[in-house]
Amino acid sequence: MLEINISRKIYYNKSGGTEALKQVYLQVKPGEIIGLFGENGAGKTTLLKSILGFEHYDGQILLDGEKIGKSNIARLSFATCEHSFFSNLTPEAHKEFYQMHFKTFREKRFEALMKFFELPTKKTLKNYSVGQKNQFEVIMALCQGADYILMDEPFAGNDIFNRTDFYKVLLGILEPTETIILSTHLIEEVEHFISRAILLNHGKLVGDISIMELEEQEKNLINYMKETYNYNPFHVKEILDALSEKE
Amino acid sequence: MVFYKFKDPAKYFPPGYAYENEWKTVKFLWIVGAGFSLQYFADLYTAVNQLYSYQNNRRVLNIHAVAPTFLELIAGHWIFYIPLFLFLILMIAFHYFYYYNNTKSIYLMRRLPGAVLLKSCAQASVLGICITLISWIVLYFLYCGIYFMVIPKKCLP
Repeated sequence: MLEINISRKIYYNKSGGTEALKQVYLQVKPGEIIGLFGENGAGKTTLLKSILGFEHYDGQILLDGEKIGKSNIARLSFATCEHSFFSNLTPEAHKEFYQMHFKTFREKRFEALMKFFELPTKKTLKNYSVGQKNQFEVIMALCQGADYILMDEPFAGNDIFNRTDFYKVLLGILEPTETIILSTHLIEEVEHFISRAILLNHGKLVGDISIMELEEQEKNLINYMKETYNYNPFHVKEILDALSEKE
Repeated sequence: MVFYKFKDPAKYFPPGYAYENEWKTVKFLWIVGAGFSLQYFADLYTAVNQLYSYQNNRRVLNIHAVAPTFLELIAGHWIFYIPLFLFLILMIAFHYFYYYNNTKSIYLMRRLPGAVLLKSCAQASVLGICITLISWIVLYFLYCGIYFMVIPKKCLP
């Protein structure tokens, strides 16, 4: 289980500091597929990077009771829209690199996913399209053999058909103990695929609900989010009216 | 040349790193360092000549002449290795920042078990420094041997 207890994460700058995360307390159980939502700057990426140990924060994050360090970091994988592969290498070379460093690397899954998405294995990644690069990034995160797979807006730049394919494949290949934390803005797309939704707002945890609970309450995720964020549906109309009055 | 023995230098650099120009620079600076150390022979030649005088067009050893010590002669001839050492150290930074270029492969490197990141950044430089030090020692003893060969025993300090 992943236990996240972050009391505060501050980014310091010339004008002082910005609180990126505050009082984020979460428990992530094996097998969960979590959607991590929030507006830009809500703290989604910071949270994922804090879990991976890329960010300093006040608090602690434990993986099965142990601090995350060199001994257990391989149990986490990460797919990011910034891409974390080596652009001068081919997928084949990446496979060898991962096999060398991750004993749990899932070769069969790698071959199957590369074939499914028709990605050339001998082409250097810098020559891939953005969509292909995203696919490859996610494939590597899924094939590392990690128990906790963190994804930070991995499908930015992929078309809807491509994304839909990915959700289906993902549901088909994941083992019951594999856990996914997926940060995304594509709420409606992932609603039927995730088991739990976590909502961040200005660095604070403002919502944490299972999809089952939502169904019991006969709500959908979008409406739950609108309620949580106090979304004002008349906001746009008010602005447009105000603009037209001025003119 | 000792560097040519490493048939696959790529394995000493970060994955996918375009090492060719860097490797060429290292080899060039090594040659410059070793090349300039040859100046020692010019100093040695002068020192030997000063031990002799010419009488009736004959070169005669001055019995009371004392040659400079080997350390005095060799001093300053290793200075041209400094650019190589600085470059080798700078390479560690190049390799680290490579992981931030184009993609953020630093995220992958930082997730690897063990000290893979440190090793990938530093091993080419450490190897270069070791080879340079070894070649330095070899040249030192070679030059030392030549010193004792060409300086007459009577004139040794």
